[in-house]
Amino acid sequence: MTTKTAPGTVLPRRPAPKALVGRRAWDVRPLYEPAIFAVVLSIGYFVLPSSWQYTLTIGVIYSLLATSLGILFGWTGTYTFGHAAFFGMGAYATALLRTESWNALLFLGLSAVVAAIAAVVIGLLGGRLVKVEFAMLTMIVGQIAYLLTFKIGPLGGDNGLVGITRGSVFGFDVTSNNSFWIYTIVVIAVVMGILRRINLSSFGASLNAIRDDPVKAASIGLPVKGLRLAAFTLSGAVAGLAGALFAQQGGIVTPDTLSFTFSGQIIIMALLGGMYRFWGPAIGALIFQLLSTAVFGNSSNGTLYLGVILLVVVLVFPKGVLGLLERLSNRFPVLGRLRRGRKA
Amino acid sequence: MTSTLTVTGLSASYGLASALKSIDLRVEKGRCVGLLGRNGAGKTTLLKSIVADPEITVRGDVAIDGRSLRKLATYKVARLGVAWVPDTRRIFTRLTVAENLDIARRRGVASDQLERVLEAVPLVRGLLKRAGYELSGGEQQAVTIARALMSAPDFLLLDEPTEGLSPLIVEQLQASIARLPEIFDLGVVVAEQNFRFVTDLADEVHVLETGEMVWSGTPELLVSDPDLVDRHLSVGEK
Repeated sequence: MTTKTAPGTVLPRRPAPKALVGRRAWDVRPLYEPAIFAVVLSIGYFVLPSSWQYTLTIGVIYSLLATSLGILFGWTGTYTFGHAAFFGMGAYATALLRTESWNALLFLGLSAVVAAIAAVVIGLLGGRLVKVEFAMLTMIVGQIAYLLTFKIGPLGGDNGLVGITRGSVFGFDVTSNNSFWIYTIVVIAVVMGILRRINLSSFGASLNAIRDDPVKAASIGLPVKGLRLAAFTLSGAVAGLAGALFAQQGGIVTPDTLSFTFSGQIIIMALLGGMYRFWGPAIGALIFQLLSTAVFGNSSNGTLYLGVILLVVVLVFPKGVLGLLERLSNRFPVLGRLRRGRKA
Repeated sequence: MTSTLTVTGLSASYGLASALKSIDLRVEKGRCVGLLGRNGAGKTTLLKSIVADPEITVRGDVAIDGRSLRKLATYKVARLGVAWVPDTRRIFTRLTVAENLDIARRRGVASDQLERVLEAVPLVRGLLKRAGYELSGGEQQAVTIARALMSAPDFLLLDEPTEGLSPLIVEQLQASIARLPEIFDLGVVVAEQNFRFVTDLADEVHVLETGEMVWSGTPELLVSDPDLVDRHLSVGEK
């Protein structure tokens, strides 16, 4: 072996920096961020008038749903126009399995598995498709799933399925609104904590890499198709879990939960908060829910007002509310703490 | 352990447009091979063909120690030990430098690989916590090379590593690359238009012109023949 250029001085050996090898071991964001999320919302839930409680409960379930979309759009750069299908599948799975004797958590797990299996099948079908082509596939599959709810008798057609009970969790009754809130917020905080951990892991960074440049990601040994499928499956499972919570909350599931319109609303929720921040879609979903029900719900022009607000957000703050905070933090350093760490 | 990357009768095309014709190349671990040629000569296409870029249709064979890489996906070629640093040198800008390095580490790679990489490319040591988009062109190039080394490759393919860099940075980069074959026991292929960079660095040089390999030999031989350089590498009237 020959090296023709003088190699220069060999540097003295130093210990490997912890920034790389140990960074994620001590990162406590997956612990405290969901805790803050849960505590703040719970304070709101118990302090605000009871008329807001329904809105908050649905809003927090949508937060989880929008975060599941963020796994695809924000983390991975994979687009879907049929995300409501997984939410609906989870909701219908819980409705079909309804029985009072099971632990309520079991429905969440089973619904997540059902939606994950559907996601694997769709992901494999669209393995060679990317970007808009893949989004079109998800839209078509979503529409087929939506139409099937009318065609398959046991799914209840137009009327959907009713009589879904909330049940209990390890003997803790969750049938009352307050106890169901505690059950919901704890489940969602735990799932968000797990997702945050994944987001900050090597797996999460790998998803970001294939989002930014799939060709270069492959050139360093990342299996792009496999990672996309994994992200799609994870996203589907989380959406299915959110669907199960939704079914337990309302006691009824209708075909609307799988509709194309609802898929569009999930995208709007995520855009509103900021797709490229971990907490952006969740915050966007809360804002969307508050605006669409608590603020404009009783107005005949509510949808119009909401549309105008969304238009302003998309045009003026394309990175959503958290993107706006980021811009403000550049001017006001005290806000800078909000933007520490990697984006989604 | 001696290991050899062999390219045999390789022809490549982008759709109907032919880009390479019947190229033969042999790279041994521990040696540095230079590819010289003008713009469009086929240097980048050759490197992309080796790493199985899906945009390119390839005939012929690429193998490591007789094992063909032809039918493999790009990421599998990378996992078999061929690291590619593309010409645009873009790192994943929304990740930190540490994350850029972390995602490239293959399973089974020694735990001290990071330290070895940082010793070989010392510029990267002070950048670990910075986001990719904060880096200058030279820093990005250093990170892309460090990232490629994190997978402990047997062969490192560098495409136009000096493109857009200042002479001082090019000098530092050259010193770093020169040490790589020895430190990591790997074979290096450098595709460049920078004549001096390649002839200073390489153990053997191949000259490409319009997709064909028109000359192969030692850098000393190439440097000593101004007519040859003029014919194949200069621009303007000849």
